Amino acid sequence: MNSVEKDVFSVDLGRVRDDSVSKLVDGVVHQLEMTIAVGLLAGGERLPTEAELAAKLQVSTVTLRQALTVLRDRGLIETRRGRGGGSYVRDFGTADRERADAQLRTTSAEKLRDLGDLVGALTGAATRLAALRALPEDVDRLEDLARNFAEATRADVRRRADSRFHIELGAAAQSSHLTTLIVQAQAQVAPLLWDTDVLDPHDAIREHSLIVEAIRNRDPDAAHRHALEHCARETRVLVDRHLALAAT
Amino acid sequence: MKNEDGRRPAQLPDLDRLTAEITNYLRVTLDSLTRVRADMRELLDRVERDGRRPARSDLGGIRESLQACLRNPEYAVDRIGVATAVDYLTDSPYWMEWWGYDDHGDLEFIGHSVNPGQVSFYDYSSRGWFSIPQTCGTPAIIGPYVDFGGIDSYSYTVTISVPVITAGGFAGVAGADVLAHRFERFLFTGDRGRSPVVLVNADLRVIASTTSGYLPGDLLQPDDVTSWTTSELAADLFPNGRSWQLVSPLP
Repeated sequence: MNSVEKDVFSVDLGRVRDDSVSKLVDGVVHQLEMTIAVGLLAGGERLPTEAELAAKLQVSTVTLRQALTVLRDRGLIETRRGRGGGSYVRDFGTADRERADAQLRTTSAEKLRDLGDLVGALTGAATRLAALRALPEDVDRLEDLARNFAEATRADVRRRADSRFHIELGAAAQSSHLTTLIVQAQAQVAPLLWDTDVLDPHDAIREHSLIVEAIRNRDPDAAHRHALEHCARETRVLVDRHLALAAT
Repeated sequence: MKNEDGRRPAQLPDLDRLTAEITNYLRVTLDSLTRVRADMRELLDRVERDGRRPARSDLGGIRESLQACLRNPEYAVDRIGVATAVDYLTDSPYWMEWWGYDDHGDLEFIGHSVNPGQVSFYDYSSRGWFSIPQTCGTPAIIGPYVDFGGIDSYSYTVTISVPVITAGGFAGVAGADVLAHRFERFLFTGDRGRSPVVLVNADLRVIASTTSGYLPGDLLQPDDVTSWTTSELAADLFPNGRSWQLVSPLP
């Protein structure tokens, strides 16, 4: 775990400029989010202390703390206690089985069902539209991504490949909004699905290929049905696993 | 001659006038990229002459050029930037120095997920706007497509790009993003009483349209358009032989 020595916060990635507090918080969140996403801060790196960071970003520690809470809720950073404690950029490079299990244990069946409903609604709608709007080359791209998923042998590679496949459905649908929402939903659901080793990927592999086939055949009804079945099955598996974990 | 809606079928000269305007707009955008490319080349040649390989910090020098393009009222692009060839920079295998506007209309850096470790990693090297200039050495006009490279919002985008080649070889691409909806305004000029016009790319994907019968993002079928009036945009803008065209359904 490296702490951050390099002066990445001085890189101007958009300014904090409004004087209202919530705007300030948004500005800090945006700045840190960008710093992480563009790779200036890598997974596993420790953020500077709150006082240092607040000074660098020229905001109060109160504002900074609110921004860190937002980032924590979004799963971009995590706070560790005790020796070597502090805020760390979450490392998406490797699957953390323990953390994913802990999260699945504490996420109620109702929350999982709700998240599953969202993923199903988005995936179903995107898949239906993709069947109407995708070009053969878009379908080829989906097929490649489905193959990456099928060939993945490590949990973190499988998680990324699954997310990419789902995100590409939004793009094949030509929908900016669906793509945006799918990215957000995948960030929540993909670690639960794949970092926990709950799922047999063979079911998803089969379902992905049914979805791709229906899109290739320009059959929106079949595409929609396969997408909903895919998402509903994964939700049931997650709920079963949650219940088993929560009961122990 | 009028159809049932009281609309006149689009006349070819009228369509040709609209295509000329869109063609001109695309040419001006390519001009802005040629400028950025010249500045980028100069900057990189300077670094290479020092016997160094460029690092991310060296690209700071291109910001002024990018911002000048965004501020220039002659150029109407939404985002503009440079993306470096994979492993070209010493300290980032991928980098996009991309600028646009924030919600307040101020210029801002547009972050892209160029960290291969991120779930949202955007491998631009496989995208047409980057790979066509890289492999063919020509400009490219790509889209419309859902641009999910950006970090906080995704937009339906057309990207126009040119290769940047230094003494050392292919260094990257200069590109401009235009939101697809901007092309709609070109379709309203001229004869208001004519039948609908639809701007499509070479795949017959609708970019903009004056009828809800054909929505942006929809694919037209080749059979749909064979009997329609069509007008192609200047072929030299599309070196891959994949011209856009304006089509108008017959009444």
